Amino acid sequence: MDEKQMAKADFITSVVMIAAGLIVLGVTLYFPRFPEWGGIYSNPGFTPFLMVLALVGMYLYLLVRSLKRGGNQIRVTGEMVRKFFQSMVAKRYFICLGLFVLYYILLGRIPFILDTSLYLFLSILIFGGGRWLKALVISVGTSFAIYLIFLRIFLVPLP
Amino acid sequence: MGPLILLQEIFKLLNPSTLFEVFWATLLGITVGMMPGLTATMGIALLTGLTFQWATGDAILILICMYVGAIYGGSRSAILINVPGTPAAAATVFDGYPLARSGRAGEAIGLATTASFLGSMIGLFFLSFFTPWLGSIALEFRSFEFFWLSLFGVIICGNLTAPKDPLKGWISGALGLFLAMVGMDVIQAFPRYTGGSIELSGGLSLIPALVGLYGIPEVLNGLAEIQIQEKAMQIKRVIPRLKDLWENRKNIVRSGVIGVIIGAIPGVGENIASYVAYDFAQRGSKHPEKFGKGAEEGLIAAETANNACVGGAIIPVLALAVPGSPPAAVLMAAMWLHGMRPGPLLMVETPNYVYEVSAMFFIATFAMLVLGLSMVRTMVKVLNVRNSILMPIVFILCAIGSFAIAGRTYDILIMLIFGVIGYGIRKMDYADAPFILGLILGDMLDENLRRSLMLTSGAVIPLFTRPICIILIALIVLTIVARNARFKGMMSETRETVTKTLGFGRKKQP
Repeated sequence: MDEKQMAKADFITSVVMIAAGLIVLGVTLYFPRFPEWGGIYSNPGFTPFLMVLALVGMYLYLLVRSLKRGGNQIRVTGEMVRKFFQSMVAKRYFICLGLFVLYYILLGRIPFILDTSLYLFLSILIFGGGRWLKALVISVGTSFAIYLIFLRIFLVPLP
Repeated sequence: MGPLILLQEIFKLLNPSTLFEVFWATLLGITVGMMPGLTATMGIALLTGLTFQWATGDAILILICMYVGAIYGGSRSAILINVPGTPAAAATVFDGYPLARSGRAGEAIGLATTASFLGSMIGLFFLSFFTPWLGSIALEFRSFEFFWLSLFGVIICGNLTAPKDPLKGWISGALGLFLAMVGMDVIQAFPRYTGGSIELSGGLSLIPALVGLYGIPEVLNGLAEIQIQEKAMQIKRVIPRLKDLWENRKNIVRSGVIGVIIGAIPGVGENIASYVAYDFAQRGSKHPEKFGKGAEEGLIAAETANNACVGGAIIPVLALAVPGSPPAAVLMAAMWLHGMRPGPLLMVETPNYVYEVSAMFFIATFAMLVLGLSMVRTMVKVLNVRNSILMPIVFILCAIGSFAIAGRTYDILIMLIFGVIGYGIRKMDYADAPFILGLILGDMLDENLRRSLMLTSGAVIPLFTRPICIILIALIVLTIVARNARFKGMMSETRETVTKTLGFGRKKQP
């Protein structure tokens, strides 16, 4: 990211985090008090309150700094959004995340070896250039190897 | 007495089954370290989950081997393909790769291996004999001091690991501290920010969070961002010449000491150590112009410092329960998981544990030297594995490592969430080390702040007037103020005035 982009990103992050921080501060104020343990300092919300207050303060500083650098000059057009989603990196990033989520959702619903093989096969196929036979051999072989190594050597319970 | 106990502990480890474990774990560490994208922190976090069912001694030994091996392993890819395998090897690239390009790849690997070994030995010396001393001082620490210590750790870590923008380093640390407070609080067991979730009431699972923070961004980077993978170079002679090492004796000692000192600073880590040592080596060199063009001195300085830093980073783990680097933070979390209680009381409850850890560190270092000098050509082949195959496998290992500790798929979700957070943190120039340190130290900060105020019935004066507190507060103020441009200008003016008045100064480099 160049300085201009960073200023814009800082602006958005600061606004979101300040808003989130204020909500958390509100939630913290409703934490129960334990007068038998002492004053306000003994409450479970005491340290988190101070911490969030410090965070909000730092994000306010970041917000002011990003404003000085023109971080609020954000223009989002349909063309920009289309370009972003059409870029190779964004596509690969979302596919990657999608595969993670798919693996997580299927975990425990189908056998571990099948889920792992499927994830590896799709990942190697998509990111490795499309040789399906090679992807299949590597994914099935690796899944079995992982299953045996972790169950036998590491004695790790698998999902 | 200390050296004798250390020797006894080393002899205890000299049996075939332990040595077998040491060698495979160090080999795995070197492999993890040399693969660009796989870091020591991630390797340790992964193995923590995978060795959770093992006996405590064996598990900690494996993790130390992984730590030592991975920090050293980063030099391989730095030298051979111009990509540091771990951040710790970033300064190794400057001279390691030019040396390799001039046809001296084997020599560069040999020098890096020997320098790493010597650096580790310097680290070992301080770890064995300095920790008990620091531990005895730490016994004076009460809740007041621990509060300031945890705050100091996060602030200095944010300061040094985000040099471009320390504010983001501090934000990162504060976020970590806050997230550590999710779950039941340590004094009244009140569930904070759990939203009624039973899984969250125990707090955010530390190891899955760390695996996510370090592993998932690497997988995302490796798969989503198209990178051209360089082929590793051919290797000839590996064993270094004694003459080269002897000529660098001052450089080695200086870099080793720098590594240890930086290692002992909370959360700062091996990458900073190697940069600082490299800078000092260049300033102290008779041929500073050769740096960056294949200077052996530069390579030796970077590699000595990053491995010395490992020993340095374990010192505060054992003496103060404050990790010196991100991998040491995971090591500390692993010790907690196995029921160990690092910190001042360790010296009282199990005084020999420091020597036990030092012995493990020694054996791991020795294995690193043997493996580093003997299996060069075979191991270099690993560098040719493509990211499209390696990274999905790394993801599976991350998932298994996260699941293994509590047997909950929920922890895999935590890993994924923290993975996305970690990716965002890196993309936006927030350092990840303070975030991790915050996650580790959050409970300590919360508990000690509230406990100290409860002890004084809310009076804040003792928090600011106890001698160690005053030192820590002064360090915190100095750390924050030192980044101020006006303060920097004032300091440089003072330096110039002193130099002129006293009539000395650094010699100008040609």
